Amino acid sequence: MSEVNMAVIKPEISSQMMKSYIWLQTADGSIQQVEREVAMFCPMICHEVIQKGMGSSKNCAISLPQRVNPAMLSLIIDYCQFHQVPGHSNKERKSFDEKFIRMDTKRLCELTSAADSLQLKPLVDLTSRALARIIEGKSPEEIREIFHLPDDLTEEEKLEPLKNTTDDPRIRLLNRLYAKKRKELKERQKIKNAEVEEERVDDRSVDDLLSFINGDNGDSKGIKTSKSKKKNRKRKDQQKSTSTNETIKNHNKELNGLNSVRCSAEVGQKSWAGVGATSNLHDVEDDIFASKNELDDGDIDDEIDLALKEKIDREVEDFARRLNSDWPERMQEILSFGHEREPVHFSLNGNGSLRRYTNSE
Amino acid sequence: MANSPCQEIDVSSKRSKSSDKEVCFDRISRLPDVLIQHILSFLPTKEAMTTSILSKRWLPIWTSVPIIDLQDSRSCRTDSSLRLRFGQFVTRVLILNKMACLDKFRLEFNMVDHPSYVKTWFRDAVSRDVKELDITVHGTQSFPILKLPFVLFTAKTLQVLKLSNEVELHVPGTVSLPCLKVLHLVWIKYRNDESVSRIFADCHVLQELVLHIYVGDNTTISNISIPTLKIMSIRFATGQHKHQLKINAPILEYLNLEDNLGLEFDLELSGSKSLCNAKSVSLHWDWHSKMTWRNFRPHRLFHKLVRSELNVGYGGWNMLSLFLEISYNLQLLVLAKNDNCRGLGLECRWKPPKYVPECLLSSLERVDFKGFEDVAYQLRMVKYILGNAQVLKMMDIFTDGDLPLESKLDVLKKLLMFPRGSKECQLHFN
Repeated sequence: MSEVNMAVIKPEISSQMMKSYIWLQTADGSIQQVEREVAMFCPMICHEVIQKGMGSSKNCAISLPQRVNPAMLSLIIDYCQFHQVPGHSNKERKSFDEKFIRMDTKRLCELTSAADSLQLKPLVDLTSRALARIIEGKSPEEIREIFHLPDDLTEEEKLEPLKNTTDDPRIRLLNRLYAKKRKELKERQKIKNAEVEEERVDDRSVDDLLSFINGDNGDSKGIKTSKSKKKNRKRKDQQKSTSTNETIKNHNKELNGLNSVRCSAEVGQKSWAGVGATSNLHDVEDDIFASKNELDDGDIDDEIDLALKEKIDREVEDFARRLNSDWPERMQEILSFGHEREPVHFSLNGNGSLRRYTNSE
Repeated sequence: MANSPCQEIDVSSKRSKSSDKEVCFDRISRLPDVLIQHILSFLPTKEAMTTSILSKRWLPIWTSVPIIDLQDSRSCRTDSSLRLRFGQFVTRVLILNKMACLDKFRLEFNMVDHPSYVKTWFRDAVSRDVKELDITVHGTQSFPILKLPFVLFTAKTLQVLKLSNEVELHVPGTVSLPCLKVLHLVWIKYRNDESVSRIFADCHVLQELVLHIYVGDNTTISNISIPTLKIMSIRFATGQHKHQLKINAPILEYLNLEDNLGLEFDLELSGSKSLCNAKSVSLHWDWHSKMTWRNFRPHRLFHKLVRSELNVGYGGWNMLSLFLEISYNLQLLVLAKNDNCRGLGLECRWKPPKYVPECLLSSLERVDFKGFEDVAYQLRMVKYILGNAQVLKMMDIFTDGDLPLESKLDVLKKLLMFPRGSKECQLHFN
């Protein structure tokens, strides 16, 4: 590093016996002296001393930039004092840095600013990384709280759909919250203007409904068309629900044989209604990402590996065999096989048709 | 890290300026844009994007960070629609990022079903004078491999290139990578042998090379001739019995050779100066039985060798004597029993060097022994070193966790009984 090289330059004037000092003046007027090797570790001070000849006495003290106040200066001097010694091993430097950086975020920010104005790049990197670690993994509310950021974006600006993939759970949560807020906003607008509101879950076409029922019952996160530009629906947690979907699909096929179109429609409706009630959504981006082949049955098959397929085939055969015996219990058994996370409860209605409850979580 | 009100009051009372009386003051937003971008550059791009909704000040900042670091999620492995969405997402990020020059472009993803997307990304990165490219591709059923577009190999500003997994390297013509200093090729496939040799020949300032070769990658890399190379790490996982490696790297400083299941290593060093400057050599072999060094005299080597690591199995211990003999300035010696060989307890005939090596007398200061087992030849080795090393300061011995406590104590007693050539020598036992 060039800073270390600079620090080794011997002073031209003073004798080897005395330590030489450099005089520094902070913006508030206070002057202090610092050992030359330590001060020269900062490129900006080094430049002032060598190019302009400043700092050799109290009268021509180097005036430091405004961003360096005495508290920050003492921290920076501590840092330079340790690191300008060439004898420390990398391990020692690392552990010093880790201890050094433990301070509250206010001082971290001030220190970053001060180090930057003195062009002390290693310290800038150190503090920047620490600040990045603080920001990482936190929700915007948390970050605002830590750094006291003003919440000054308008609601519309905030609710601009986050242009992001949604398999990141934090983003999903954010999008859910903001979509909820947007819903509220829109409803308020509706009351005011009595405009045509955008499509809701309940306004889906019959085709959409049927294809949803046939392919997508297991999706607990729900599917919502929120913009008219939206072409296809998106499916969440494909991995989790493929087995569920497959089981239900086969189950539905069997049911059809028993004149259960009504039944499945009912089942579908019930589960879908339960799902709609949770109103989780994150496909506000779907107008941007037009995904193809969403509910193509072929897709589902491709993604299930052979072992699972065989298992499901066996289940279906089993099911067909037992069709004559206790039907509701058997169905429940088989369906709950595929639902590891969503136990499905059945009960018989008064008129003998099935009613299915989903767990709305 | 967390701010309590009293802490803030302390800070503000220390400051002589009284410009901000407020207890809660937004300091981070007062940093110049450049600094905030610098902070965001340490975050993955997805995280940096989430800062855009913090406040007005933060809204556009993430688009000026010159680093793009994107990774898709595990569920993309099986969901083609998610993969497609990720592909579109990357395209959007590239469009929204305003920087004319990128410092780093890192991508790790499952292959999207439209490879033309990917090629567009690379062309964009190259046209933005990217300095570092780090691509890891996981193949899918429909697209098992990504063929790299040739535009990557004419990137004038590229300094670091790292490629991993299901990527195919095809270099049909001359390559122009005038700034490339670091090249990592990890488990990738090659179209043919010429692709590799062309890259090595046309990178004139290459300093660091990391190669992981495996069976089925369609190449036999046997000749590495890179005059500017300082750091080299090669790992073979080919299961071949014999590796022939010809190295011509006169200013090489760090050498690391790893191998699984190789039985013979035929190392030819062409050029009279190869490996003379090596400061650190580490060998990771298991089951190794023989290594032939061709075309040079070992005693001329390793004058500057300061650190040596032998992570070996049975046959490999013979290297120990060789290294001790030829490296006059050795300061740190790391011995380790290769993971694949531990617990098997086979004997090995280890012969100590004929004469006490120079490095033991004058330079060896520290020895680490990992995976120590209570077997005769290891005890002999440790005894020899302890007895003859006159400037040894520390010997660190690590045993495997699964040895019972009593046998550990036994071993410790034995070790403590060995005579020590150096008075300052400390023995650490874990």
